[in-house]
Amino acid sequence: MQIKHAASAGTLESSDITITLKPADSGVTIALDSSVQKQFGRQIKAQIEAALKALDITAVNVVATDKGALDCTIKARTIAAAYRAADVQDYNWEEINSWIN
Amino acid sequence: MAELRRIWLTINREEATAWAALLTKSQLAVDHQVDVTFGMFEGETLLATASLYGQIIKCVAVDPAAQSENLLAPLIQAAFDQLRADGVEHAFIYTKPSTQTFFSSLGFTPLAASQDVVLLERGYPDLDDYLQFLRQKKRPGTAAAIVMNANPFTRGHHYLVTQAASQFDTVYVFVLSAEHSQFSAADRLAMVKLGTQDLPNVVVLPTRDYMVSSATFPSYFLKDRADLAVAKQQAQVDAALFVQKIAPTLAITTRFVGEEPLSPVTAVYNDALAAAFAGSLQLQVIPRLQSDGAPISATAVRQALANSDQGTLEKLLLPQINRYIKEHSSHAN
Repeated sequence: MQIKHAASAGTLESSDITITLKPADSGVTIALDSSVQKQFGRQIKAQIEAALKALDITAVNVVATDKGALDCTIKARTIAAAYRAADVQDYNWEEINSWIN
Repeated sequence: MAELRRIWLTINREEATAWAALLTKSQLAVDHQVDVTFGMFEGETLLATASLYGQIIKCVAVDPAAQSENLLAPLIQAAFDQLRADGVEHAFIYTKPSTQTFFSSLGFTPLAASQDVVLLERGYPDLDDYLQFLRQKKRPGTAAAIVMNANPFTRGHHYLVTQAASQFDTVYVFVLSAEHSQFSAADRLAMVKLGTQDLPNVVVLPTRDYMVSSATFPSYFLKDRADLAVAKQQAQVDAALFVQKIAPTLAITTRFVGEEPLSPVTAVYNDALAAAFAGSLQLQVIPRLQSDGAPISATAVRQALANSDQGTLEKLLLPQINRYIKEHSSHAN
């Protein structure tokens, strides 16, 4: 999947995460601000990285503002932001289902 | 559980009074220049509020008795949802340095700070995107900058640019992108390009939101009504942003401004620039070019346009700009 323009998904509510994806020349960078950074910062980044990899996104700058989201929420917000940033409207649920759990 | 509601300041008098009281209690000015206002209510009691004016989040206050209850997040979320409905994914906020951390934890990044005020942004396109755009336009050698509204581009502007261009390898002319002027941003950018064609070392660029914009220096667009104390604060932030981010990106060492005998707001701005630049950048103040014993100003041009005073227009405008204005205003009529 190709990031064509910046896009984001998620809210600032407690237990949610805002994921913003911006185009990059190469590589994945993640700037994370989390209310549980010390305990879960690494795990949150790993979840985002895994979802991006599964979507075959190799060049992107990620800005994430986390308010204690669960892993399923992190994945869902990353996927939604990626589809928006790639201008893809038809979600490939079967393909997503094959790796999301 | 507090509930988010929109406050209709012009319609609901009771809530408007509560809103003003909360701002006063929080030592904020009751600023009615807002488009949309949100409140967090416990029953009928207003606990917290935030407003939007264009892309600027302002008048943010939480009742001291209701702090640490996470009332800020839903308010900022509501502001973003409102902007998103208009296709905008980007917002600014002004705050005191002491409350900066609350907004950082909501995804805002600080852009520039003066002693009393911090300007933060969230969303995209952001300052990094703008600096990236500037890097693509960068030329080697010595560089100076001029920021102008050019509403419209006069012989006075041309004189100022010529002065700078004679001293530096490159002059970056930034044209304000805000749409608060008689001429549109696109027209003003086109006129500056047209008017500087004789100067090959001039690069004309838009300011987007990062120089003298509704975000960095809103008072500029209120000129005769602006509170000079407020204008000074904003000018300091605007100047800090230029010194810290814009100038280093393009290796700008000097900024040229026209002397300001007429507008107090612009004079305050020039003073703030000089103070912020001290030690890091040069500020060159060029006396205004005169015509018939009076300084040439865009205000005089607009006056002459309103009166269809061709004689004056020919004196104040380059021929190609005069032609441009005629061609483009004929569409409107």
